[in-house]
Formats: sequence, structure tokens, C-alpha cells
Amino acid sequence: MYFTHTAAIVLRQFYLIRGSLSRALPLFVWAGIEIVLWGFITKYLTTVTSSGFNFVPSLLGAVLLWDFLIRVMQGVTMTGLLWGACLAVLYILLACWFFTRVYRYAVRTGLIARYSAETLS
Amino acid sequence: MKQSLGNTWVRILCRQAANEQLHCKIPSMSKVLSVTQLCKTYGQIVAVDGISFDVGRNEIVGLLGPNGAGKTTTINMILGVLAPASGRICIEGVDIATHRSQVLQRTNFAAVYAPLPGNLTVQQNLRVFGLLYGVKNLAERIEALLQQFDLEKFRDVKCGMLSSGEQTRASLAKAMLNSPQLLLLDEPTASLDPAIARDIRNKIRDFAAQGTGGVLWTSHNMYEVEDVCGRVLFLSRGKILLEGDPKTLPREHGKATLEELFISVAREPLTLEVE
Repeated sequence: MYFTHTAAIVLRQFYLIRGSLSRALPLFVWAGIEIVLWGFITKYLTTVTSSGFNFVPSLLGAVLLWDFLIRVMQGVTMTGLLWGACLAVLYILLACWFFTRVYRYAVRTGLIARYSAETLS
Repeated sequence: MKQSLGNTWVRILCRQAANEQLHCKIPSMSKVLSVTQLCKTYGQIVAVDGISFDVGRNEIVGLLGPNGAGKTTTINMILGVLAPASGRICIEGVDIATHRSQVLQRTNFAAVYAPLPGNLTVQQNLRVFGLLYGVKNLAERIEALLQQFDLEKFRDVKCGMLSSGEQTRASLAKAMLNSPQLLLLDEPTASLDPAIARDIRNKIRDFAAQGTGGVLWTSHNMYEVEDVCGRVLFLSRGKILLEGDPKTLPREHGKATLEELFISVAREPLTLEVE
């Protein structure tokens, strides 16, 4: 019974996406834009940075982490608001805050730089 | 041997306990819907004030009353959308408070203010709702309903593009998907032209006559109520003031027509209460 409920919701989303270009397009367009954008940025940064500490992987790692957390926050916030589970939002905000602090700490103390240098050497 | 007998008794007692929990205290399988002392309050406002009524098999019961009388609130409580402040609702003897999913599988609903999602086609909507209701042989059931409600030519048309009458027919097709034992209709023919309204009435009458289910119908069209309903309940300020056959009820209360009686109930409910 519960499988059919889930199947109904999935089927509804499939029909909606298939029947509407404005729903289907953003799924690919934004991912495409980001790939092209970061591809060019990476290419440019690789040419301008000096040898030694590789800045590009650190930056890309940070951006990926940032993007991931934003997506998680958006997803959970929407669900939380929809279902009234405000505590989930709070947890995600706390998690975001925690990971941001950890990342800033890692950048400030040179942990990421040292790790990158060690891995590349 | 002793242990085996003991186990059997335990099983019997467990089954009895489960049945007692599952069914209302006074189960009645001839009644599709049984509402007992139902109340709903919004702060200080009493929307539904201790009403009790039944809907039998093959019966169409009209729930009448002026705007704000508590008809839609009652229907929403029967559907499990609103939680009652107190009282009990049993569908086929099963309490909705404790077995909501099980009960809702046997129930369906159609209202003019709740059309099917406009961005899916008629067939897509029926397929999605069929899965939600766990309908077996869904493809055949959809075909039969499209034919029954004359919707074959609209199967690939988005529901939002249909006219009011076509949308009502699509909503009714959805309401019949799971062959419900209890069909709740909240003003199903409002905003329809007389020809389509008559067609819809006939279809609902056929459903009640041929199947094993009952219908609870709200309407402001007294001609329609007199034509379709076997019994009516007059609701005013959250209470049932009158109950009876719509054909004889007006005369019993010194009125010529059901519409006159409705106006009396709407304007002077307290006078009727005294009578």
C-alpha cells in the first residue's frame, strides 16, 4: 500500500516535469552553467597561480562544500517549513554554522594548504 | 495439548480485543457512516455542536443548511482533514480516529471547490489518484470510468483546460475510482447548467442504487435535494434541527416547499427548535 503511495507521488512529479519545459529546463541549465563557469574559472586560476601551493583545489573544495550545504539547507528548510518541522531547520543551520567554522579554522591555520601541498608533493 | 488449547484461547482473546479496538462499540454493518456526538470548536466559536446521524447502504442523505451552518466542517471531519473536538466517526463500523488510512481507502470525495490538479491530464490524474487509493486493475478501471463519465475525448486534455461541467465529471470519475463505500459530495452540481446537473445526479443515483455504498450530499439546490435524497438533515448553527424525507418534511412543518422550509430554518432556527 505504501509503495503505491510513493509511486503515485513519483509519477505525479514525472508527469509534471515531462509536461512542462519551465520545470524540466532548470534541472539541466543551472548544472550546465555551473560546470562551464567553474571550468573556465579553474582554467584561468591554474594559469595565474604560481607553482607550490595549489590554490585551485582548495577553492573548488570550498565552493563544492558551500554549494552542498546551501542545497541541503534549502531542501531541509522547504521540507521543514512544509511539515512544520522547524527543529530540522535549526539543526541544519547549526550544522552549517559548525561546518563553516571548521572550514574557516582550517583555512586560517593552513590545514587545507598543508594537506594539499602534502598530497601534491 | 494443554499448551495448544491455551495458545488457542490466547489467540481468540487477542482477536476479540483487536476487533473491539477496531470497531466502534455498537458496530452496525448496515450503516456506512455513523456519526455520534460530533463537536468542533474554533476557540470560542462552536462550528459543530454535538451532532449524531447515520448514512445507510444505498442511501443518499442530504446535509442542508445555510452558509456557516457547519456542513463543510462536518464533511472535513468525516474525511479526517479536521480533528473533531469530541465525538466519534465510524465508517463501516471502523473508527476513523484509530484507523484513518484503512477507513479512507473506502471513502471518496468530490466538491466543486476541489477540482483535480489542472496541470495534469484527466488520465494522468486518474492514474495518480488510483495509485494513492491502491486501486487494483487500474488501467481497466480508468477506461471504464472514462467511458461512464463520457470523458474519453478529454483523456489527454489537462484538467485546467476543461469547462466546469467537464471538470465536475472528472472529479466524480476520481471519486468513483476506488468504488467507495461512503461518497461525500459537497455541492457537486453548483455552477453547472441544468442539463449537466441532471446527468450528474443520475450518475450518482445509479452509484447509490447499484453498489453497496452510501452518499452524503450537501447542496443549496432544494429541487435537486428533493429529487435525489432519500433523507435530509437540516443543520443550523452546528446542530441538526430537522431530519426526515424531503418530500414530506415541508408539510410536516407547515411549509409548501423544501425551499420555504430551508429559508425558515436559515432565518429562524430557534423557532423551529421550539416546534
